[in-house]
Amino acid sequence: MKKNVYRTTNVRLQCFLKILMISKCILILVLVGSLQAFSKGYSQNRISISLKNVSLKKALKEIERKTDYRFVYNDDLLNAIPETSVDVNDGTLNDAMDKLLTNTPLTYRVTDNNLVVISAKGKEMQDIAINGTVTDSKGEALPGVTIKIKGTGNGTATDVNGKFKLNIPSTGNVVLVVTYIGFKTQEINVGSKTQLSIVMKEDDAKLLNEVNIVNIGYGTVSKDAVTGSVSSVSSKDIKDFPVATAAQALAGKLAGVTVTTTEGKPGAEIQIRVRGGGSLTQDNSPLYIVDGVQVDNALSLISPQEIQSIDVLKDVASTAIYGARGANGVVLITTKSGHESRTIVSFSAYGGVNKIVNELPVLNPYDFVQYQYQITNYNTTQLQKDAFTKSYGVYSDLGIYKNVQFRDWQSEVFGHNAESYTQNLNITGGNKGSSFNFTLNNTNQDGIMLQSGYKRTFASFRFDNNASDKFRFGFNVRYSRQEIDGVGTSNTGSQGNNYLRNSVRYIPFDGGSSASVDIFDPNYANLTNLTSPVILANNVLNYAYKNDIITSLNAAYRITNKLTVQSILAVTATDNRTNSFNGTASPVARQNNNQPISVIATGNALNILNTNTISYNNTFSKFHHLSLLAGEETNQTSSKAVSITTKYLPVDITPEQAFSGIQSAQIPSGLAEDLPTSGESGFRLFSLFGRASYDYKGKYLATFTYRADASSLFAPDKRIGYFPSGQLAWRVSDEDFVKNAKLDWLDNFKLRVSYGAGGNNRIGTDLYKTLFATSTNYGYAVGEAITPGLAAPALANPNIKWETTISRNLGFDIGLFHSRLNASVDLYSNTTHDLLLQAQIPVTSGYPNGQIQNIGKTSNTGVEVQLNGVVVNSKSFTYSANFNIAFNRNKIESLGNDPYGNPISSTLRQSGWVNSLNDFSLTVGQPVGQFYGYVADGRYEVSDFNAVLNTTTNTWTYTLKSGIPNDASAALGNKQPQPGDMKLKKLSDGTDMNISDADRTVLGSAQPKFTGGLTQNLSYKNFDLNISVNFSYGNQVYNANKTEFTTNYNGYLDNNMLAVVANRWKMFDNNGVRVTDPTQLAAMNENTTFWTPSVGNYTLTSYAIEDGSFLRINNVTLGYSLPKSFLNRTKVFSKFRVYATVNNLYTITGYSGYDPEANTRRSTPLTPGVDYAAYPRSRYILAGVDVSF
Amino acid sequence: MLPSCKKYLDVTSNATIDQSTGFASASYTNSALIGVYNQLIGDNGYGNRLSCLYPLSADDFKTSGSYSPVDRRGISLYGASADNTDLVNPFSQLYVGAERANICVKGIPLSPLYTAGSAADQAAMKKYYGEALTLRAIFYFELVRNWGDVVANFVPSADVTVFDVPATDKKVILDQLISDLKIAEDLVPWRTESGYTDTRLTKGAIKGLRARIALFRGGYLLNETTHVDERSSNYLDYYKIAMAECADVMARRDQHDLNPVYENIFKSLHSATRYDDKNELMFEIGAYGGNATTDSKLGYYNGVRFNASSTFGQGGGGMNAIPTYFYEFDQLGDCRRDVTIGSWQIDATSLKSLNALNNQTDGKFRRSWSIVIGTPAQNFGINWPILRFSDILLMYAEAYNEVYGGPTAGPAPTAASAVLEVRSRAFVGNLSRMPVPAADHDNFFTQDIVKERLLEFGGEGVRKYDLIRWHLMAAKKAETQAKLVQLQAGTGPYVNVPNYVYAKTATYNQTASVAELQSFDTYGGAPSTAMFQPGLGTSAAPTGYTTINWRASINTTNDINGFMQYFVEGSREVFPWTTSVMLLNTKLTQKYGY
Repeated sequence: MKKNVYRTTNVRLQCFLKILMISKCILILVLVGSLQAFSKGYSQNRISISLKNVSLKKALKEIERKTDYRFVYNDDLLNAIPETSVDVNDGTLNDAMDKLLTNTPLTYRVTDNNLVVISAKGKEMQDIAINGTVTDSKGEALPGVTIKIKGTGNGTATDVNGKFKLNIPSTGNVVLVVTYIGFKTQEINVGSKTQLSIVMKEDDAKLLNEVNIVNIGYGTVSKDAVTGSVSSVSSKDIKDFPVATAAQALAGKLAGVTVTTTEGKPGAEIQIRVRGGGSLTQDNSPLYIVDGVQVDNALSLISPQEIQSIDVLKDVASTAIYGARGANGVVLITTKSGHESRTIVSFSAYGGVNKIVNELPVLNPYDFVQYQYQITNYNTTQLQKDAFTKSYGVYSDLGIYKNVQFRDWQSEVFGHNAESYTQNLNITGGNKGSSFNFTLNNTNQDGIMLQSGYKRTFASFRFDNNASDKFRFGFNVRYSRQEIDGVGTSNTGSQGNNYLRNSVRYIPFDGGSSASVDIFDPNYANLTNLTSPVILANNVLNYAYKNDIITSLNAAYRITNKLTVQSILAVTATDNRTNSFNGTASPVARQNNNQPISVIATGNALNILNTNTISYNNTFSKFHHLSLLAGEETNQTSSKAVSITTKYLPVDITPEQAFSGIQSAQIPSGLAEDLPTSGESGFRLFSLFGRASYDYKGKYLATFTYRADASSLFAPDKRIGYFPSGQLAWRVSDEDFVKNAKLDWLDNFKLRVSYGAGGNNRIGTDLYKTLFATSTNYGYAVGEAITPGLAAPALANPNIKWETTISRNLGFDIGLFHSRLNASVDLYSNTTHDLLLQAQIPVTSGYPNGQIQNIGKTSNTGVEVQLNGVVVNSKSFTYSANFNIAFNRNKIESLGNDPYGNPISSTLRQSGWVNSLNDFSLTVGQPVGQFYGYVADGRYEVSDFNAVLNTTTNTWTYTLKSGIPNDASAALGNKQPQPGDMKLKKLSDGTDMNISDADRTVLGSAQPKFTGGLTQNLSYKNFDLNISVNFSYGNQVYNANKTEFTTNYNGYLDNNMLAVVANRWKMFDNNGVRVTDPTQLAAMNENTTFWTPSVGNYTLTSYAIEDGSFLRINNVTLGYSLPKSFLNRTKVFSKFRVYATVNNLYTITGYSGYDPEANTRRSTPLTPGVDYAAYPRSRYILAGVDVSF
Repeated sequence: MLPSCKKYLDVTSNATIDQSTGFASASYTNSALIGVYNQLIGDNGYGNRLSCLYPLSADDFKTSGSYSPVDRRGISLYGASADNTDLVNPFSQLYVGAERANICVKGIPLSPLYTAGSAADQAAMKKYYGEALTLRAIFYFELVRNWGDVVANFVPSADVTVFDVPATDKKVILDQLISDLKIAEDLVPWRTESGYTDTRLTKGAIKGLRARIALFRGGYLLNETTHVDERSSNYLDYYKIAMAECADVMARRDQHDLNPVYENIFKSLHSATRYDDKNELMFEIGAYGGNATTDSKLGYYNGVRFNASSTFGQGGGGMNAIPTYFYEFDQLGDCRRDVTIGSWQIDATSLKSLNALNNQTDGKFRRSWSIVIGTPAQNFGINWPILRFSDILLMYAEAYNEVYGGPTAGPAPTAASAVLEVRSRAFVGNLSRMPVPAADHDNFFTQDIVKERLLEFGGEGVRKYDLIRWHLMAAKKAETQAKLVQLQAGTGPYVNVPNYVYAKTATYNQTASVAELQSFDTYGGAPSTAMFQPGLGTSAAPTGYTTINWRASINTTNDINGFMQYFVEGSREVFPWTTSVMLLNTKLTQKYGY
């Protein structure tokens, strides 16, 4: 790179122009199509046509294309006619037809709905008008049912009262085909009837929410033809979930897809993992594709109401078509499009109250004071003892604290009823040529924590147009505007920025050593390391705004019946801004001259995607079906960020003033403002891909895909990754031997096997380039100021390449009892290799942090079972259930080699909630996410010690008996153990009884044995009931809160503890006098259970590891729809449903914290399952209404 | 399509600076160089460990506290273990610095500005190139004098395929540094022409550093195969280099000269206010920023002890003077003693009180001289002196004495005159008490080089490395221990040293160091008298005075037997490889004796 900066910019510009050129082609396609559409609209039934020597059939098609007329004829009749010519300029149909049919044995007749019937002269058919009604099995009229005359394109649809009228030929055996979504298609022999009464039967399979068209990426296939492992949900599965984002509605719905809400904060990250996730250090999120366009975190940008279907490609053989981005699964989201119908307006709204589910029990005022007495009187100076008396009174009077009003800070901070409302407006409709769908969704959610909340507006518009038989195009515009208020409680950074502790530990009553708990006192804050959580919540403010615009244009042109080209151009723009404010009482302000600080951080990203595909479908010799797809894709993202931190704002400034007037900062002399920071980055991907699918009689199916991706994330010679895959399927049920067996109960049985490779390019940019970075940390004091310097922070690895996942999948799908029961079972084995890990290299290289290298390997193997069943399907009562369960075993296969060439078997990692605590182990042969620490062994009892009486002071001193483990340095802050102190198990061999690092072990794993869900839908007459449950079994949770809130870290005073500490080791008698006598001490503690909170640093022991298994009743909805018969009479509504829902109704778990699903240390995938300062989950009780007009 | 596709995929962010792009700009090159200087300072550079831990102990100072093989005290007692926590990070920081320098050394000459830029650009780039070479030499010299033979790498690591390589003979490394510095000194201009202050390298400093490295190369080096300290047969060639370089600097008194006031050199390190118009400080490491990366802990870790409750806030105490060191200085004439040794401390009430003889500190660093007063801060922005003009004079004298076989055997300026220059500054106002230089080679070396350097550079991280290159470590250990025995017993030269001194606490006047000590009210006369006469000899103090343990404070275990306790000739001249270094390099064997 010898070019200077400006030159580089030009190169980038040229590339951008190139993209524009590509997009121009699409634009032309679209424009041509639109013109045609407009001209058609204009000319209506006037005809201009000029054709020479064409078949009559072609001429008629041309007229059909240009007008609303449709022709009905017998092919044989027309084929007999020689080629003809016609030339009509702005004439009528009659002008054209007369010219066309002269000298032919044919005649024509126009019916009242622009139907032109062509028949042999002398055999003219008499049209007969018939009419009828269509109802469901309950007798409710069905509007919008399509009725077509078989063998023609002609037909009509029922009106709102389920009535229709149709002209049919008078001769021949006329058969009507009646179709309606959710019902079985019927064919009706009209015979001589002129009045029809059609009763539609619900389709059991459809009742099961079966999706029959499956999106497999760059195309769809029927469910029967799917060869890979795909889990799908349809709109019906999620439409009744009144949740803020579609992601929440997916929890427990799909086998092998785990949906984890990391904490209860509004707008909290929802992690979606497909089959475990293979990467150790990089992003394990699946790829999201919305209507062909990659959209990161798509499920948080789309309201559940606008989703038509979600297809999750799980085996890498299926995702291989997405090549470098497919290793972690692909979530394909199809949004609702309009369809040919009258314009339907629907409105739904719901609202309700969020409420905290549970609190962490803490010491009440009396127990709190007793505890403070202990820590200020145990081995302390008279000064400290006097300080207690001054704050809380003499021991004999402490009984009054039994009557002191308890301040429940958790309730004050998280306890209020947080109201939440959502409105959704949908307008959809279309005619033969075009359709549209518009959705407006607005949510306003108050967080249960003070100063937190969530506001969001989505607007989306989708337009599809069939400009002609050959050409169609459409566009999608989606706008999302979100605002998340509140700093929350947890932070993936250092301990100091995690705020839950204040709500748990702050003094639980008004009084004592603080002047008033509601007034900020910096001295008290220093003494306790705490701030009133209410004051803090009002002093640490955060407003995150995010606007996304996603636009896409798609066009398809059918060159022949067999060959179609298709293009997508999408532009996604994301704008975000975070305003945060730290008031005078905030810890940050207190480190900066007690003056407020504001941070305004903005970022924007632009993604341009262009996909062009050509597909070919053909059937050879009747039974050989072949479809081919070839495509090219370019995908580029660029992002920019600017952040301005303004310190030393005036002390009485309001947050709003601070954000709009950072120039008002009053910088004390000798101090300086931080410099603003800015940055930019970008990456590009160029891909070629292809897919070949073949089947014989639909019985033997094979799909092969191949994709080559070239990514800017890698060095030029490592840029291209190749991702092949193959899938085979056998529809056993289509074999003659099965058919001949006449197994009435077996509808469908298909075996599938697949093998494929996918990549993960969700890695950092520029990892292969050695670059200079600038930082004041690289600076030097040339004078009395730091001159910033440049340095290479890391030794680039030019050999960086894709993390690659190889997946093997074996599965079967079975349909039983007339599709009353459908099951899919998949076994898979995925191995991910070339995982990026920081490899240790000799420090003499100048890079003590090592170098990132492709050295790791992991595997995920598992079984997934998905069952859908209709248990009852009677006229008035239906009961269907959807159950899934997935077993995944995650294993680290390799961590690379040490310099001697020996495999590294294990390394330790830090989750980082407390500095320098190696609390996770990464061990070959074991899963990711193993908690590592000491095994708790209760506490030291009197019997563990040799007690010696000092006769002058009449006190006993205790020294540990030999052979008893000593955890002074491991857990007690280097203080020698005393009776009542926390005891740890000695695990290592040897005679040294000091507990050391060697005594740590694996304490548990965040990986569940199995996960799954059960969704049950019941309906009785007009009532519907949905109960959704999801569960996880066998995972442990690292309850870091419990460790923090039972440790007297640094000996801080006035810190409250969890209630369990109340029953701790007693060292003072009922008069507050220290007891050292062994017999008396043992007797006093016969019934106490807890140890003396340690003054040492936080340590992970098995005490903090809890069973995290849970079964969550995620959603219960009871709805009532007004009967159709009643609605019909209103003439206004076509649907009216009211419902009540409880989200997160109840969680059955043994876990003692707020919620077992918490996952707060997420900066790498290596430290899952840590519940540290997680925002409590709330229960949401709401009621809503759905109306369609 | 393919070439344009390649271009399409070459994404360069304007927020990142490609290394070749960086060196195409003079200002970026300067920033890259700043990034190299950056590795000199901080806790793991001269901000603390390289300056205050590694150069101890010698017969001037040791680290306070009792032995532990895994920390700073193990280093001071020559008993550091491979798991010593104070060895790991400085070792890697030196290599980080060398790598950053390597990137500059490679990149700058390849820059179009270097060969085809404007005259000003070319001059700047040449200056930067010289600085980069010198900085690399500083990092490697520090590695060699602390670890002996080390892994040497003079190209950027991005160009290296194998890092698992054996150590290189220190002689090879030092020869490379000496030839690099020859290139550098010709490229970097003198101080007044460079536009630099003495926190950046200029010609005089580079020449001085080259002289220092040459003297080290010409001195005794540990042969790590035979475990013998030996000197190359051509050692005089290196002395000639040193002499020539020093002569060049001595010829340019307009650039660097002795500061007439010894104390002012060190005061100048403490703040932006300079008391060094003569630029005796030829190169010092800049410290600022209040952090562990770009600032120093000088004055907080070492220097005069300030009680945390005093109005100054906490400071000093990490280094202790060897009790005999006080008595190496002339009783009355040498002003350097009270600058170099912190005989007193500031107590919680901000008054000064006399220290026991075995609890004296170094004195060239004082929180009260800094501008960071009265806060709980640990970083005071105090710079570290690498090279002073008096070292040029004394190196010249030493080399001259070797080259010509005597202090006055060659042309002027003579070795004797150079030593006298330094000494007369120390004895300013008391020239009558100033010793006369010896006339013969051997006595001149012992009395006027070995001794003078002890008195001149105490606490500046110089002494230990001098003793190593002179092969005097074992001898000085024995000599000092013998002196300590005498001192404890009050025999030999210490016959008049009191067992106890009786003193009153006094106001801290913040005046010149000699006066500061003399302003103590000590029983039986001013301190310079009381400390040199037997006195009452009882632990009970006369009314109004507090007893200060003087000879009585000397402790057989720690002060006498503990002095350089684990030093063994033939091995402990260098530190061990740390376990983490050994783990990742299969070609290294642990240093002999560890």
